[in-house]
Amino acid sequence: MKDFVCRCLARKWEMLVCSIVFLSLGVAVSAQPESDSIRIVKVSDKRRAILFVAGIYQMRNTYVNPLTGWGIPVGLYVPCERYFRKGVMNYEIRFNAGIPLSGVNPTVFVEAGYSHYYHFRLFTSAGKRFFAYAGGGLTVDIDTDYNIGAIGNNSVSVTGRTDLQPSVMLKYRFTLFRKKRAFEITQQLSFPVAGYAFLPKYGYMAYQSFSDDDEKKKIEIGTLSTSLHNAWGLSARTCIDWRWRQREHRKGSYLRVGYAFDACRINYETRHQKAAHQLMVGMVRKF
Amino acid sequence: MKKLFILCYLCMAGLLSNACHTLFVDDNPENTQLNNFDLVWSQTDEHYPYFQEKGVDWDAVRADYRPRVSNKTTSEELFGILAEMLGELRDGHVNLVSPFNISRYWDWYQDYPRNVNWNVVDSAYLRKDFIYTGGIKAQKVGNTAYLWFESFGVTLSETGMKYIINKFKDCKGFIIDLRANGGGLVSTIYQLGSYFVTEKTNVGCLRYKTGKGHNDFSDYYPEYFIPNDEGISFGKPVVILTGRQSYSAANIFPGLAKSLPDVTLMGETTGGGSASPLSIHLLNGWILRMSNFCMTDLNHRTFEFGVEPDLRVDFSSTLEKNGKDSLIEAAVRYLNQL
Repeated sequence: MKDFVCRCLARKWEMLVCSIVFLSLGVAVSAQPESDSIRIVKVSDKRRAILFVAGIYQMRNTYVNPLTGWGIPVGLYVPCERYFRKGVMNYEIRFNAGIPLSGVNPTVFVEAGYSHYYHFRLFTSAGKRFFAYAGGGLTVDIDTDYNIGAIGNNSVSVTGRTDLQPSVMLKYRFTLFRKKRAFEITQQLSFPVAGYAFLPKYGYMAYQSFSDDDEKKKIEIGTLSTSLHNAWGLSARTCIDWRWRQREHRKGSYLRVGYAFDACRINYETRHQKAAHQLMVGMVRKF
Repeated sequence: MKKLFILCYLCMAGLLSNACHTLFVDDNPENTQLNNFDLVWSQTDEHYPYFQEKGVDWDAVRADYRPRVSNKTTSEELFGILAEMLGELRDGHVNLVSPFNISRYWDWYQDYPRNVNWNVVDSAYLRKDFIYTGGIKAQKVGNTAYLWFESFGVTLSETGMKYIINKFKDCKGFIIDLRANGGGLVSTIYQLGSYFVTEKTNVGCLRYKTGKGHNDFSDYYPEYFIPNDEGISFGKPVVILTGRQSYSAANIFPGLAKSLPDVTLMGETTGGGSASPLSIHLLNGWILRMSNFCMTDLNHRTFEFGVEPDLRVDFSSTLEKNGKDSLIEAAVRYLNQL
């Protein structure tokens, strides 16, 4: 069994493709029209959520430390959706802080990001249970890593990144508990294909970021055009909305729980690698 | 059936995402003595900037030391081997920090005679009524202002510096004593430098590693002293007293200030150290520190091996016995002659 897992982990690309196909297929299969109809109401025009997130992360930023560390990320996500006749516009504000629990890389991080997508509706099932969307968007992320165990001038790294990301979103509505509870699963997958990154150069000295001398600041920041050859990532969101004592998808407040996987890797003069698995819990308001 | 499928789907989605995170983040090598040795060697190989200047063949060093390590080597033995290996770099900025010991190279001052006696400075020159602000102890000595600056590890007080400069504005000049200053913050170099100039002045150069090769360096970038916001400067001749214990920031500062017209270095060659170190964690939790950039004068001469004084003045044990400091006395005489 251990050998099998090791072999699987070694075949990283195959695993990624399988994951994406599986995640997409799963929702599609479960979305086949069913004979038992439920009362479907009009899709909400707007949704605004606030989600608390926490989980586990692994990171390696070879500027602050050559080793991989891990810890607990906690944060706040504010995703919003606005529905139109032909699609849906999503935007999300993210804030995350990572608390290190690793002795070999005690790096704290604080990151903030914003994503803006537009998804076109590709498919709606006959029973209006399943919706498939595809589109793309722009993301902007700023990440500050601080090695609290460092006793040198490489303790802080600030990385900025903006990317174009194709995206797929699937929604499936169903009822459980003898059709007394209405649920909705949303799955969104996106990955960066091209962009721009700002990150520390190989021998950059962190203290110079705070210098009064503008000339010093200029020489320290490396800029990099990113594409799949030097940077890749994946952002996956799976969430379930439901409303207590409600068997219909109506306007109002819903409880949302979900799972978020965010990962990115940039190969430059220094390497920036981060992957976080997080559970999301919060409220969503459908207008 | 539908419930089961949804449950399975969600579990599998989580598991597969978990599996594919290995695509994005590399795993650490196993924490073994050999892997720790290799990490120390390779990180030093990639980041250390002075192999050429010091004539160190780092590959040969590895060939000498690696056979002495095995995975059965104890932590104490490994520490000793790594400390000895890092000692080949002859660099006070290179340390290995473990929970039970810190390796260091201090020959840059331990192999030389001392040229300051704090008790004499304290009792004969600073006395009891000195001004003490922002890490600087200041006192009038003869017709000069004497400033004892013990560490660059402090941030200077702007108000304090303004007070000192105004208080001693009628003196013939300033004496800044760095003989027991082991360095500190690089930012304090520029902060102190801001009181030496009235306009932005190029005082030295800096280059840093741009890659893993021993010769992968950036161009030389100019280093400036920039006037402080209040436009306060010493405005008088300044003598900087140096010794072998003037290390790191206390080595860089006189190296940069030496290019200024009203500055005279007096005493001994400084201890060296021309970089602020970076630090790297090892698999066993120890920390490796090493230099990672090169500060030079305007002619690209490195400060790593110390900065020569303009006027060499030896420490006199005879004067010391009489409660006098030969360097301070020489500095006072020098300023009075200007």
